[in-house]
Amino acid sequence: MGLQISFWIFSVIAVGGGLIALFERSVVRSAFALFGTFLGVAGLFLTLGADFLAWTQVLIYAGGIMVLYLFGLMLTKPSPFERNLRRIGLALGLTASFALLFFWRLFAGAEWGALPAAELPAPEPAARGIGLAFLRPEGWLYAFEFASIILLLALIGSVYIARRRSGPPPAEEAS
Amino acid sequence: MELGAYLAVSAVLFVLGMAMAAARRSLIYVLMGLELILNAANINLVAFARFKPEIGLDGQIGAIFVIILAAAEAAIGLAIVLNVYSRFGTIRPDDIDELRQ
Amino acid sequence: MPADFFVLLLAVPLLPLAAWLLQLGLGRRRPRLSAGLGLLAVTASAAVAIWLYRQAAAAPVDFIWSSAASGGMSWNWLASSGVQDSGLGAFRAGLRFDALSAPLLLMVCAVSAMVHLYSTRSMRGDSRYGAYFAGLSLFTFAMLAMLVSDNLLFLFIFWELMGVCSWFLIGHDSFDRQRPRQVAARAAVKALLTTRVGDLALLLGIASLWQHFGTLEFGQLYQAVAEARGDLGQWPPWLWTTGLLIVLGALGKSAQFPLHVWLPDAMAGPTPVSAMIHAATMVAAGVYLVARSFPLFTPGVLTMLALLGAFSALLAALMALCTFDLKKVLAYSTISQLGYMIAAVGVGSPEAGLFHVFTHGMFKAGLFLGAGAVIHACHHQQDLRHLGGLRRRLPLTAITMLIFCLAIAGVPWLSGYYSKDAILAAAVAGTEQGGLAGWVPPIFLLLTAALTSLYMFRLYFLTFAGEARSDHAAAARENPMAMSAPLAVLALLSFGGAALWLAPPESAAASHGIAQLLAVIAALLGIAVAVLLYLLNWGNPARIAAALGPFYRAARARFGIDEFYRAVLVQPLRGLARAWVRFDRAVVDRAFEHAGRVALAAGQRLRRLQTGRIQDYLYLSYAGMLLAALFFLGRTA
Repeated sequence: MGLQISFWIFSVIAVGGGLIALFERSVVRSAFALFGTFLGVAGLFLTLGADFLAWTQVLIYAGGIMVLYLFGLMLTKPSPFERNLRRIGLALGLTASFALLFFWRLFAGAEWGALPAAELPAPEPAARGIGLAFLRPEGWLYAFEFASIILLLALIGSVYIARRRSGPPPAEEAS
Repeated sequence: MELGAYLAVSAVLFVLGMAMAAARRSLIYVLMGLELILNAANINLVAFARFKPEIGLDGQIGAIFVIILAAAEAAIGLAIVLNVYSRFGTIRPDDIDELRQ
Repeated sequence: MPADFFVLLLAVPLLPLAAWLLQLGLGRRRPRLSAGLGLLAVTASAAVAIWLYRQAAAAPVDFIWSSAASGGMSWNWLASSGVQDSGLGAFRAGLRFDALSAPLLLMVCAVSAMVHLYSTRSMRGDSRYGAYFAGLSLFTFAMLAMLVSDNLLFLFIFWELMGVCSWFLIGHDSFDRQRPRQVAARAAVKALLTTRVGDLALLLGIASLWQHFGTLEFGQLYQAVAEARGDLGQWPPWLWTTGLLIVLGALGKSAQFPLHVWLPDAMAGPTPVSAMIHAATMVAAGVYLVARSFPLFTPGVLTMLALLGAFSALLAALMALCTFDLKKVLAYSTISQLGYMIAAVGVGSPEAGLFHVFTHGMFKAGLFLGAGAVIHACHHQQDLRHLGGLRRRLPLTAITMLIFCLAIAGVPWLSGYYSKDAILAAAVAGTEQGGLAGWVPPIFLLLTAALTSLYMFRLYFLTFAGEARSDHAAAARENPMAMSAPLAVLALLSFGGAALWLAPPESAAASHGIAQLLAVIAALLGIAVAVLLYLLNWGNPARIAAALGPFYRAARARFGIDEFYRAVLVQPLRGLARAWVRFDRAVVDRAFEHAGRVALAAGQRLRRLQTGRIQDYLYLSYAGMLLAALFFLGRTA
């Protein structure tokens, strides 16, 4: 019962945050709504027994990526009046057909091969298992090291890209 | 809750992310939309890992890799946004139509 | 076998590969360093190969060390679900080391190391010194990797890689920026295309084996063939065609009739390349292939192999006798000796064939390097009519060349004697059941033996005896140590190399004594004639040639085989190509111009779709995704 209540609370936070972020006029408020979504998703992870992942989500998304966005907002000029409700509605309409397709499949009784919730084993702390899986060659060691290299490259690359002061914009070419 | 409920929440978040990336006229929104899409995918990964015990921890590990790549993507993406801003003086994607010859 | 054994076995090909990777980066800027790296890697490979060979020599004769069988060092290749679903299981690749590959591994490493050492000096001053050594390294890798592969697919992959390296190295001089040599480019393309005919056949043969047996691993193939034959010894009928296809592949690579035409032209490459690729290693790969596939060959295929090999041997020996280009004589001699080996497999003795590959690799590499030394010393003079008298000017080269000539002629107690003898003994033994066709190989091979010593000593006397017949030959000076040392080493190996063979073939067969006697008589006869004609100048070779008239002219003209191919294959193809070009210009080009105009007009209209705004593209991609999702849902629903 408690699991169900927390599922509903966290889903409402996540989906509500997403909706606000989509429709809000101010980009700063959108960013904070997204912060809520990330926390909601972290909560959903908790209800799924993924404790380590939930804290990772809080740390990296809520702590790291969000701050990055706020810096991005501060360093650029906000473009006022960019929200166009008609346009958002159009996009939502188009993309919602994906969701409709999905729900149609879901209620048509899609076969996932999943256990019913009542039969699930009790969740265990996952941090130790994940750590071991990352550090064993027969596990994910190479992917893990590779990911660290990618992060390093992304770090260097973003510094390089952001620092570069480009010259005057290129001359208009006849089209 | 059953697996289907999680998948439904994930589908809704996915659609919101897609709409945000397509409809809002600021590159920052495009990036935020992408993050939403990735989060929705992560919910799917973890939910399947939970409800299909034979997957074990691999679902969560996949989600961790997604988070890692999302962090890299956010850093690079914002760097590009800053560069675009310093070059064009705007981050409205509509104003940036160099691609049209 | 312990796992570290296979690690070492794997290291033999991987060392040159590592050198090649480094040379790719270094080649242009640090050519000397790149040459040193290549030499170092090959020497290290040779050291490992010697250790492995000592292990093999201590083992029983029929040892087979397969990494797949010993439970390690075997990798999934193409483990796609498609392969799994076909019921054939995953394709696995591993290493194999046995009595067939062990001696060749040693020989290839030794020759390659000598050629590397020789090249450091003889290629000095070349504008693409670094690239040359990179090519050599890659080639050495391919050859060694082919020898340690345990399945036909990998053998084929490295076989093709060798072909590419051969193209690259034959055409080496044509890449020179200042003075590109068109001859080299043409020769390279000719070699590539001619061998490609055989390669295609080989690929078809491999596909056929995979289709019927579902495996390409040698051990499993042998077993599968044995099972298919059953107790009655019935060969499956399709195996005959498959065997022919594999044989055709070997004929192309080993330059045997009817695909021999590329090898003489390939002499346009640098001499060390000819020594390694076109004498000792790559061309021997064909013999290795037929020896490997020996259990797969039906009696009919074997008979054809014996006849073709013997015929090539005789044909090439005749052509060698009428050639005046120093390197081309050696090229024909290579074809002839390879014919010997192929015939040996055909008469049922792959061991004898590989034994000859082993000894021949050493003295033929030596002959080429010696020829290279002569050419180098005489400022690129390689016409036998303009050499002569070099005995005093190049004493070391002359002595080593004499040893190589004696070895290839099959004079007793040099390495060539033992291997040639084993082949002749096998051929003579083959007459007992072969009927009339069984008599052809021994007779042809004996004739060839006599001709071999004749043309080799013709070459030797014309080059080293008598007086210098040109200024270049008169001014020749002995080459530096880096070029002479490999000659000396190879001469030593040609002298006693036969003793290194794993198991000297038993001389138990009754025919052995006769074969031995006949072979020695043939060799001495050839030498005697050469001494009379070219050393003592009894009788005028030119007058003999004139007396032979049309036959001599035919042999000079390579028996018209090249012309025949040109008339029957090349010209019609070229004509077809020209006609196609005309069609292309008149019809296809015009059609495309019109299409282009239409596309341009359509593009002008469609351009409005291309707003250049990324979000509009995002919408379009959503729409595409939706269509795809509907499509797949529709299929599964």
